[in-house]
Amino acid sequence: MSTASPGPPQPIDPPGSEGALSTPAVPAADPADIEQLFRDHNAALLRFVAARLGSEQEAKEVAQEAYVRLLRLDHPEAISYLRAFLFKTAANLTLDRLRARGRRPPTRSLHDMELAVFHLSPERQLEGRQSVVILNKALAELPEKCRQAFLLHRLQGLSRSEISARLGIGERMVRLHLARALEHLRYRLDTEIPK
Amino acid sequence: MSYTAEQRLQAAQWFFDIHDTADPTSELLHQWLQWMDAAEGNRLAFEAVEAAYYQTTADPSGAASGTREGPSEFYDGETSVAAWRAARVHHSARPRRVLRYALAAAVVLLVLGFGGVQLVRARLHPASGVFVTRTSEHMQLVLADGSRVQLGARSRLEIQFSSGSRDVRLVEGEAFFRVQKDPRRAFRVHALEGVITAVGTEFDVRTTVDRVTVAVSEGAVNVTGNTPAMRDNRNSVSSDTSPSGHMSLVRLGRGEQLTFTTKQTYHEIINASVSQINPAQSARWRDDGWLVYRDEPLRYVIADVERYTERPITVTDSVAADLRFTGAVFKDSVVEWVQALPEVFPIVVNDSGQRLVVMGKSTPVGVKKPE
Repeated sequence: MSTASPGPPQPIDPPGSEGALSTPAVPAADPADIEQLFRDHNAALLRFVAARLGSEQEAKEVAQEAYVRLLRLDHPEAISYLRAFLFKTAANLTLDRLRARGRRPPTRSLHDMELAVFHLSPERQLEGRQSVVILNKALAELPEKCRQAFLLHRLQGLSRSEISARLGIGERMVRLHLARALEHLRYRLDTEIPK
Repeated sequence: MSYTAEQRLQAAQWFFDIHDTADPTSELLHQWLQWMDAAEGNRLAFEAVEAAYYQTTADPSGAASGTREGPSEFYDGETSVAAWRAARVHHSARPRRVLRYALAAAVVLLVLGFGGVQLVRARLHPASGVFVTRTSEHMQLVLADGSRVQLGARSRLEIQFSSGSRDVRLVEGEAFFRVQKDPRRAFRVHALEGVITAVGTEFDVRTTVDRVTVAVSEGAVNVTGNTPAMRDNRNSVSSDTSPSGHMSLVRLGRGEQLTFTTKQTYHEIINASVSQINPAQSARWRDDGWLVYRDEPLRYVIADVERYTERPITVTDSVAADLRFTGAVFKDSVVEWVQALPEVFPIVVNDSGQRLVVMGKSTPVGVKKPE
């Protein structure tokens, strides 16, 4: 799929607004559907892109661009596939930007805590402060390889295959360990943060 | 908490699958988004694990330093960390030399309650023991030899290992076995009058009233039983007949299912047949809670789904009992499924509030259970 930029950066308008729809001679998908899509998935899409790019501002630009492409689709399909198309387009645009920068996805830094927080529901944001203590305790409770896998992923941004080589366990086991680690962190937060 | 323990784990898996893939396929994204949409709890769980991931810090003085030394700890990710810790704490009083073995042998029971609340119990390995699940409850076991068992609802499994053999008996209900290889000790599952011997393997065994089904999803099993019936049915499969009297033997491979019925008064198998199955379908009770049946008499289907509801369900006559059912029943909607049966079968369902009575249309309402 071509991922060339369609022109100068678009203004940050919600899809369905005049700015996005005014491109002439291009049949548009049903604007009502697209707007629904936007409402339902914008936060998830922004986090999806931001996690890859390490920048909230760039994430907004990419998301906007992906919406514009969606609106220009000749043959919009079922809404469920439109969503996948939207995320796929965003992933492609993200890859383009990373290639243009000439480097791999950013190492996850402390800064990206902000990324996760933006557009999270209010109760999630409230958890912020008290959770750090719980999370560090939960990290310490993890089985050794499980903990190492998680930290290599989180702090050094290593891929599964890199972690696999580093720890001497298979990639499937890395995936399982990562998921189990995260499950446990969440479990501790869920059980120890008073409601 | 507005999601279940299972949703939390699934969310954690999706989180890494989605964020770790630089160039995700549309199919992967589609599946993920469908999962997100399938239940409010899924989306909330995803958001929650995402937040947890990004809230971890790189505090060099804390747990993140990586300097902790300890004994090499056995953990294979099959159970949650919480369950693993529960098992470990249980054994912490033992001398360290014993620890590794004890850990490997620990039985971790995961009990998923109705509200998705996760209770975790840990026990020493059952070289012998009896494990019973309640209505709707599933249980995961790691046996002393490392074999894994997933026990379905309202099931009873008796374990008796010795130095020469590994014997378990599925007294009732359903269990899925993933057997650890041990050439010196055969792994045998006894179900009614049949004996299923594992040949390095994954298979499912279900005992329903007087009938057993054995479905193989990986490897092969040998089935022996006290009967001449299997010999008569062996032409459809690669099979072998023991020369010793009426002990018959059927070898089942991947994707094959054996069903046999026993006549308990004579301790004999009176009927047996082999059919082809889709292993992915027979795994669904474990994966997503769908109980899948193919061309099975309604009486067995009902007796089987009954393990997932507190309400007794009775089939009163053979007209209804012998109807053949093909389809899937969701474990949390068993009663609704029974109530909907008259739409597809010529039957009547009498709902007394307590008991559901299924009968053929010609049977007068109010007939008592004849058995």
